[in-house]
Amino acid sequence: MSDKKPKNIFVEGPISPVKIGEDIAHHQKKTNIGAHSIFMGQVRADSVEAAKVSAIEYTAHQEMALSTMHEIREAIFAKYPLTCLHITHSLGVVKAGEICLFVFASAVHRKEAIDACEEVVERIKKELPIWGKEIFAGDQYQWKENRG
Amino acid sequence: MMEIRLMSYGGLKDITGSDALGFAIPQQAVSVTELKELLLARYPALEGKTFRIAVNERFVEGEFEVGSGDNVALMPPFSGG
Repeated sequence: MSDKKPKNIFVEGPISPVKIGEDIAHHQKKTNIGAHSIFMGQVRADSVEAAKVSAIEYTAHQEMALSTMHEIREAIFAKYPLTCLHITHSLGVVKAGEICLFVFASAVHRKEAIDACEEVVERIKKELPIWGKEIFAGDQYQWKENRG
Repeated sequence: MMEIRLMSYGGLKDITGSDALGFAIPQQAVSVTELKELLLARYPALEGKTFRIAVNERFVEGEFEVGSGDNVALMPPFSGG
């Protein structure tokens, strides 16, 4: 089950698709798992007036983010019979098209994996003190706002 | 007179000009409500901005007392993911 000490979720820069593939491969030996549900957040090249987002730079209140994430993990494990749950979020610059969030929930059956994955993603967006600065070509930027 | 450590996150960094700075307060202790008034007087651009305050990594408001050396974080709405 979950550890008592908050786990780090942050990596500097984008999350590599190779790392995501390796994470999936590592679970092949856990043969009690029957379902994985994964979510990947990708930086979108939003258009704002004439400018296009070329990257998002993420910053966080890391201590508060990790302790809040720990509380979310505990609540999710109490609510769903998961086998395991892995979360990775980027810090620093992530270019458009690259992966900035990876949530990986595994369970015996699909429903709990899918429901837990969705709830974790929603809670991460709502509750973790992380901020995205949308960077446009040149030195222009605006602070990202999450939709409800 | 006392000093707190003021940490600004997200777009609020653009208003205070730094992600971490010492902020002098002319009293020995202030409530969060009083601190907000001092911050608005020092940084008028905070007017109308939505933000929460965490003292020593806990969200606080209203009459909660902020004392010397406290870490005070100004946090706008989150936008991770």
